Amino acid sequence: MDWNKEGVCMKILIVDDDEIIRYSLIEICIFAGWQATAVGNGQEGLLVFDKQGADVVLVDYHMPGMDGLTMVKELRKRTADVPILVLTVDERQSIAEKFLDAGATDFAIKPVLAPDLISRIQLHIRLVKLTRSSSGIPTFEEVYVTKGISKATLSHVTRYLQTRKDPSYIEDIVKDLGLAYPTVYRYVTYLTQQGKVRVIVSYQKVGRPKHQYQWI
Amino acid sequence: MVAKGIKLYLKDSLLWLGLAIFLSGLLEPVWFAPEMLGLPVMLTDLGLYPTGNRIIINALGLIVINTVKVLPLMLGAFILEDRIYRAVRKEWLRFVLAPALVLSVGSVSLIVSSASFSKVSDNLFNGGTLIILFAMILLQKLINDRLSLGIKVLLLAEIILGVHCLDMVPGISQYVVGHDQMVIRLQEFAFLGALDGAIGLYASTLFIGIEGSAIILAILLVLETQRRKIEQSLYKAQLEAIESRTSQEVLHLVHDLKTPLTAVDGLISLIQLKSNDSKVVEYCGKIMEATRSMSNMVSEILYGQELIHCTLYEILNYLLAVCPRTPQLGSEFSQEEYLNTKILVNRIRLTRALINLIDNAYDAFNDQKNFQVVLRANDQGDEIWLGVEDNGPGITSEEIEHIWKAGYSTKGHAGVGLAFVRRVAEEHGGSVRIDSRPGLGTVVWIGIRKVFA
Repeated sequence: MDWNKEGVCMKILIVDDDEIIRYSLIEICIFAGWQATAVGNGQEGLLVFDKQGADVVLVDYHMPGMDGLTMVKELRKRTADVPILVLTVDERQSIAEKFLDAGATDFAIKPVLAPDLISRIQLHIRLVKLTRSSSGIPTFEEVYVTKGISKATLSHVTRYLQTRKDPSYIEDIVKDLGLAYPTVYRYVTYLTQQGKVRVIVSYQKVGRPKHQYQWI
Repeated sequence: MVAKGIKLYLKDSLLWLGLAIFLSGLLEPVWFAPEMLGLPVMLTDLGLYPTGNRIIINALGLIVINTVKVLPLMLGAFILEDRIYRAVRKEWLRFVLAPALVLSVGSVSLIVSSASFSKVSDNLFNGGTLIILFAMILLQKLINDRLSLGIKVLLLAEIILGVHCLDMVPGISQYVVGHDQMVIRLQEFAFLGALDGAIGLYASTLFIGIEGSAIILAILLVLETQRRKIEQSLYKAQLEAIESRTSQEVLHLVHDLKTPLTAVDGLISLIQLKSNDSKVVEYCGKIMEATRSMSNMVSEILYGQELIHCTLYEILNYLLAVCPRTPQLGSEFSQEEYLNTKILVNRIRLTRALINLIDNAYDAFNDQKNFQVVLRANDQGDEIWLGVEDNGPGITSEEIEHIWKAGYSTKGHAGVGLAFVRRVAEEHGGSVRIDSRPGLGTVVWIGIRKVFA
């Protein structure tokens, strides 16, 4: 497997207060052929970003001092389109929404497995490359359609749904797209609000009825 | 709206009480006569021996009697007004209802041309009634729901007593009580005995004292109820703060427990990627299954209220896997429908509860032959009952009462089992039942609601 297809020396910035998590994430990045820098708190992370930049940033949710959410906000002040992935144990949509609103691109739900993380990072690098114009540093408006919705991810989700003839469960969309569940949920809901996607309620044999989504 | 009101009328026992009291007040001339209290005798007596003492004592007595005469009607009307307003909740009723009730009684008595009834209208159409009605309205408007009806009725009774003190104040008396024969005669005696001024002074002082104490009492009671309510909501807020702090702690704990698991998963998955050895890849897969299972259990244990859909079969499997001393299985468990019963449970807690019961059952062993502990199931329609049965010595009825208390044990080590089991059953919307016969054995059942498609 050639992990370097997307480019040499991708710089990954890792911000997590647990030493062993930093270690395992660095090792995963090295295996993927990327250059990784790991720091233990938000302030240091911002210093590193300011000094040497990053192509992708991994931010832990639960940190003492500057917490993950503040870190994401601060990072977004410095860059509009560098993918920020939030590492979190918490799967609640309400928490995820806060992060997406603050500018996070996607999530990596702990426990983070090597192949999953690698493909997710690759996905976002690819998406960013697609929408980055040649005119250098993009502005916030160019990157985001609205708060929490980035053009790159949106087109990724849109293209997928357009090719689906049948309605799909969110779990299936998540599997096929390679994005985290809360992210997919957010974008699909946005598309539903925009009238591009319709919701079909599917009653299950056991448990709550599930929703299916279909491009109109 | 009216229909709802009427339905409430019929259920409200206080309403019927109020109606009963009111009617007894309405029909007072029928069942009450001053002769019953020996008043005319008293006055004749007074005429013969008009001592100062007698005059004063009779004055006080008359105040009390006049109060009592008017109490059923007024209190009945008050209670009726309170309950009707409560059912219908129209503001204008507050002002109109009580006076309407009282004055309609007066008007009815005017129409009914009977000597005793006419006295009722006499007693009602005077300044005293006006003051009392005013006090009723004020009481309701100012205090409303803040004090219970009983306390409001007591306050009103006190106010009425105070008002009737004015019966004996010369000059005011006729406005307050109208043409009450007794009062007039007693006033005459007082005047003749040169005591009217003194009696009037004492009566006015009594009036001020009683009304003042009623007001102060009302204020104190309202303040006390407010204080109690504030205390309660403070207590509730403290509980909620503790709970939210605990849930914060729980979240931290979850995070702390999951971190090493995350690290293990991350690195094992990396080894899996890096390795060309198929067995290594396989082992990594197994390790990750184990850590995943651990991670789920961490969640289940800490997020205590989490309920998941599963079947009896899955619970059984899990129970038999983790139970230190496995029970036998009842014959029900060979039936498909039992095994496929769907339930919504917290697997960890339910299993812990069952293990508790199984432990207790095994501990009941008392040198019997053929001692058995059997796991049972019983379908009860919308509930499924899981039971642990033993053929031990059983539990006596005295002991049964104690078993529920946390800490009780006949075994010599601390018992927490059954109180915990009941808690778990309640968390699942079910209950616990014990069937025990001394000498024959015991079954402890946990009932859990089934889940339907």
